[in-house]
Amino acid sequence: MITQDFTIDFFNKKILYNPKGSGNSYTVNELYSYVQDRFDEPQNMRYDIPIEAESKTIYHLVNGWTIDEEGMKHLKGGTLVTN
Amino acid sequence: MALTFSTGMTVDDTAQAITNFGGFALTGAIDRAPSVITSHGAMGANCIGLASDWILTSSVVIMYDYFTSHASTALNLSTVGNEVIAIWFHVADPGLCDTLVNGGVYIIASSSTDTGATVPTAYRRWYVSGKDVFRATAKAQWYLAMIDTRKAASVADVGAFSLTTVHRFGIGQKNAITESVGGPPPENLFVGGVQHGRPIYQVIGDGAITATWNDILTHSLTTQQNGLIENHGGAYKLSCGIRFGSATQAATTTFSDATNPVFVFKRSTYYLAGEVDALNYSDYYLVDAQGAASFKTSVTLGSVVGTADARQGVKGSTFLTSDLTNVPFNADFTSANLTAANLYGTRWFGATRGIKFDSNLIGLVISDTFQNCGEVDCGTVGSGATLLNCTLIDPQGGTAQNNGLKLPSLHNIKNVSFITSGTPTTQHMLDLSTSGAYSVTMDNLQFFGTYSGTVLHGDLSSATLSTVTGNATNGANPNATLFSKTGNASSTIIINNTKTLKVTVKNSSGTVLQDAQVYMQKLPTDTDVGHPGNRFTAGAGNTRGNGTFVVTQAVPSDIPSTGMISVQNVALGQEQPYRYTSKSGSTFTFNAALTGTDSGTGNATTLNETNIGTKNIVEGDTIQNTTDNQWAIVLSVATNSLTTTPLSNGATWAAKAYSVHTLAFTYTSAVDTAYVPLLYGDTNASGILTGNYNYSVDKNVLVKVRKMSGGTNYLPYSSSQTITTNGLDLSVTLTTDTINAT
Repeated sequence: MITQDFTIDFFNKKILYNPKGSGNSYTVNELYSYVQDRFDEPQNMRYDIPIEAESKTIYHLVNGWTIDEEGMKHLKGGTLVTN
Repeated sequence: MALTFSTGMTVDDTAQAITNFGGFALTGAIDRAPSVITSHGAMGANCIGLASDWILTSSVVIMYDYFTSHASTALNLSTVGNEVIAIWFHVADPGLCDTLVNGGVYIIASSSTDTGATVPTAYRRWYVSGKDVFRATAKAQWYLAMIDTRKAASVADVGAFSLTTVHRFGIGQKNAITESVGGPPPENLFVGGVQHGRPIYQVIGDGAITATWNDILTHSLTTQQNGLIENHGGAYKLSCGIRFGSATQAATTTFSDATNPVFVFKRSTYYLAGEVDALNYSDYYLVDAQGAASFKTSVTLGSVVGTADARQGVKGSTFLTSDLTNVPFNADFTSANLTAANLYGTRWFGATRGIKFDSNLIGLVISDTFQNCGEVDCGTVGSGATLLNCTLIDPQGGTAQNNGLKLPSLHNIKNVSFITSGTPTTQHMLDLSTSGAYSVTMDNLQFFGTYSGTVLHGDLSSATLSTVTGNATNGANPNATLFSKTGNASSTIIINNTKTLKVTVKNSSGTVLQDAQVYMQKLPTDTDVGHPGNRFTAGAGNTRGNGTFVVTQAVPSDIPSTGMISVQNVALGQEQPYRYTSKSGSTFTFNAALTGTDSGTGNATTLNETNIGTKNIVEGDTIQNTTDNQWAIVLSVATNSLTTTPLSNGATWAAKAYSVHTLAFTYTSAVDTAYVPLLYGDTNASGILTGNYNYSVDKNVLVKVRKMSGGTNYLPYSSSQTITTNGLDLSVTLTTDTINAT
């Protein structure tokens, strides 16, 4: 599950791939949707949104957020433009 | 029956006949004895004229012989009420006079027993004019010289002068150059009348006639021509106070006028090592009203338009000082024998000795302006006079604090604008003088200008320890940090100024959206403490299981009285929100602690317990596994279960005890941090979330709205807004996110 494979470090504005996770890869849209879901939880409202969608296949990391190398390796089916 | 008038001054002589006058020269010589000059009078057709001889530096005098004219009774100028001498004089050729410093024109009083042309052997002089300071006069050629004889003499007395046994007083003129025309010299010094007393102009009713300003003006300018009121092109200079009615009147006095006149309290000067004030203004420069117990007085200045709190005063009078620094005056409508003190649309400038009213029954002050005035005191009878729709500008005088308006715990004051220009540099708009613990309403009391340092919204002046709660309403904007405590440094003030924060969320079709997450915080750059950009730091003793959280800083007054405090466990890089029900000092107190136990069927994100949904648990609450000291955040609540974020350490809720509204960690003092959002939560079925904000100044805030799961997804919304005296009412339209697949 993506909820267990990707973690969000709110303090350091990082999206991290869990090395103890399933090892599965996900589409960028799945990551985008998962992140959006997390960021409308009340305790996360103060944080800036990490990802914006330009289209169904092109996404951008924004607001100073980053993703680790393992995370990038486990993305497919789209482009995530990093800063 | 008719109105009667008292000026406070005795007209000793109108100078129509030579009978009580004599003349002489202190130096040089007079050309001839003083005589009656016809068709050149101040208080009548005639005056007394005197010519000096052709001698340089002649100093000639016209004196009124009080002793002789009063059956050999001396005048005691030290008696209260006698102190001021006023003399109409005219110098035909001021260019002949010496300067003020050299005694060009002087008031003289003698106590020796001489009369007529004999030079007195004991006298005092006050220099009142000179060729360098001759002033314009409203009465052609005439000038009313005044001296309060309590003032020190300009020059050393001659002989053993005594103020208590004055025989004569008059005016002198000292020449500095010789007249060069041929023939006998003309009269150059004239006296148009002499008065003494304390100048307070009083109109007293007859029980029938309504007195107006015109009655007083006619009496002064035409009937008596006493010079106490001068007409300067429609503005009136006062050398006296104004009093409506009398404490000893035998009929009621009713004064009513809506002609909007302007009165200016005049400055009179003389020489005493420089040009200084000749009068003790505080004894007679006033506007007041008096009545008798059986015959009371009613005063109405101006008129009223509108109704209820929308009433506005128009066409009142204007009272100004001619010199803010040197010429104070005051107003007093506190007599118990008044039936009305209606001051509508009246302007006060420089009433630095303050303005007093007393009763709600008689005091009705609407649309008045008080500029550079001493404290306005509405009194306490019936909670004091009504003060409505008035303006106070730059309070000055009366109190060391330059207080503007006394605001007792009970009052009838509303809709007042307080305006500061920054000068004077000490100003306290409100004077909270009541002692003890009390609440006071601040109904539409609005402050304009820059307040800081010693220019403040107010002061707690009671020496007795006071705890004041100011309840601001209807756009009032007092700020608790802008009140000093000069009475007792330990006193405290709290301002409750509740504004509504309202966010309405709709979609692009205009349909309201329920369960949208709304969040509002101060901008990250805001210097206030307690928001994400400048967090609180944890105090000592924030131990796991506590129902409170203590911070090290004072909590700003605009932090919600109830809300959510989010605490960051810095070492773990995680934060836990807690709902609090009260805050006091630096302590936030949570909802009552709840405990329970999972039924045994829970897992990492589900806690099952019968009727747990009836407990005070909502989305966003931190929940603690007290069995193993783990924690999670509630995501949703059902009747018999909770959904949470994964329990920390990947543990399970199965059969675990839990606690809500207690600290999930022992937080590290001075390391861990916390913040409080100004508004947070889900919109209701009407798409609305509301909250309260304790307003003190306009506040820029960041508003976020998100609904990115649970049905139709929307793009996140974020914008900067400003909370004003009207609060904040924001309508947000969310755009559908067609890409989010959740």
